[in-house]
Amino acid sequence: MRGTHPILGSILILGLSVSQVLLPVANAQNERDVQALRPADYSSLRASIVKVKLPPMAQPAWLTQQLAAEAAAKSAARKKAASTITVSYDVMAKGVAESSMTEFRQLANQTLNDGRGWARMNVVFREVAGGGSFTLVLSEASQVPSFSSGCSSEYSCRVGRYIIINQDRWNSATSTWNQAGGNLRDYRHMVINHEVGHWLGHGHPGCKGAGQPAPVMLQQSIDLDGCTFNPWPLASELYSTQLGIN
Amino acid sequence: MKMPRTRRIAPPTRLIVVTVLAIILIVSVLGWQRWQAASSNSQQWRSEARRAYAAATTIDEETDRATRLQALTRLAALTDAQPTCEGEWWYGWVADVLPPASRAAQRCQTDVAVVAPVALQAEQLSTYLRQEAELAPIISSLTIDSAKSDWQANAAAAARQAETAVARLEPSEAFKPVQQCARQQMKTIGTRWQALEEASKKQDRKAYEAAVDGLDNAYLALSVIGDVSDQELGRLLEQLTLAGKKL
Repeated sequence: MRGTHPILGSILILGLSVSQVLLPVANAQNERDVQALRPADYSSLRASIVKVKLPPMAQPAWLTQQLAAEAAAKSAARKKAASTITVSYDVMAKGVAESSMTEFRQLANQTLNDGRGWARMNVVFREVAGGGSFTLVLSEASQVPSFSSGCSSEYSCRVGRYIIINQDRWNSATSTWNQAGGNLRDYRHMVINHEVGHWLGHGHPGCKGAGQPAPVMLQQSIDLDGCTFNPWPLASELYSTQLGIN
Repeated sequence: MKMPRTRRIAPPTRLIVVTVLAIILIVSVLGWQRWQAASSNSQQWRSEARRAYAAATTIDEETDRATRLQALTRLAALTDAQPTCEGEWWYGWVADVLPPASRAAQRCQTDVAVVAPVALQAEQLSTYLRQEAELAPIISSLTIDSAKSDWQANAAAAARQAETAVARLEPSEAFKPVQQCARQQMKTIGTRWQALEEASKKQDRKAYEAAVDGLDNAYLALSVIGDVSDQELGRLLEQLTLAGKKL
């Protein structure tokens, strides 16, 4: 500021200060003016757009049917899950064991919980160490009558809470079964299902017709009575007075 | 001392000079009047522009949208009434030699320089809004009357017709993005309706549910047209405002 009059210098500084204060105000005014005009004040396009909406769509009949079927299946599954009955049982051997107890336990449990068997009544069979609802016994043939005088050493038997599997039959099925072409594994399924069926409350029905699958409660070890051998309970057999399943 | 002799002009020559001077005087007066008239016209033109601009850009409770659009149309129409500030050969020179005429010519040219860009922007804006007004009923044609039993079939057909109608619009540069966006959205709606019909025919539940969701989204996405429009319209309004500041 050399050579500049002090008063002129002050005026210059004051002027600059004032301009710095006023210029932003002027710029802000311009920005307000620019922003003041909104498209909504001129355009009617949005008013047309907001009126266009997709109404709720009615379900087509086929979808309603599909959904209903699915809901029914789910409901049934829920009901099934809610009404599952668990039956505990223990296993023991009687007499001289010639067969593998491990194999006996495994096959018995598989048979009882097989989707083709009594498990279809929403029953789960769980092996326990002791104190089960019934006791599954693999018995030496000669020891079977020791449970009851009504039991033969020839066949398997059920006495009260004891379900006695004759070891001879377990190992070699019966001549009737073998002559009809049945295999040992199926026989084992059948004999477990049959004897447990007694515990569940079943008696011995007859064959419903020649060539038809035998009811599992038919005495298939003795005679098929015209039926074909069948290790699994028929649909008509899926009830249990013992468990209160109709 | 001998006085220099005054040179006399010959009578015919004097007549010519007097005539030329008279013509120059008359042309000057007429030229001056023309420039004054041009200036007056340009000022009236500018005043009209100011009034129209004010009406077009006033946003309050008393002015409605229709008034603003009419004012914009008036402002845009000023392009056709632009005053001439270029002098014709016989009087254009007057503005160069006669200061009042020069000032009048200057005023006229200033007015034109200020008003013409505003009118041009208003014209572009009016054109845009006119095209938008053509698009609005096409969009409205998609409105669904769900009280009718066959509304789904009608809605699908309406979407296809709307896409064709949008494609037929002849857009200005500013309106092109809006037209493209609208066309795309309507095409999507049409495609989704088609997907729904096919899923329904096949009784494919997953495809059907996906198509319903897609359709719902496609109708909601129509608002994108509004977004694109707001962007373009906002730009045009900004340009108008910037030009209008000099009025």
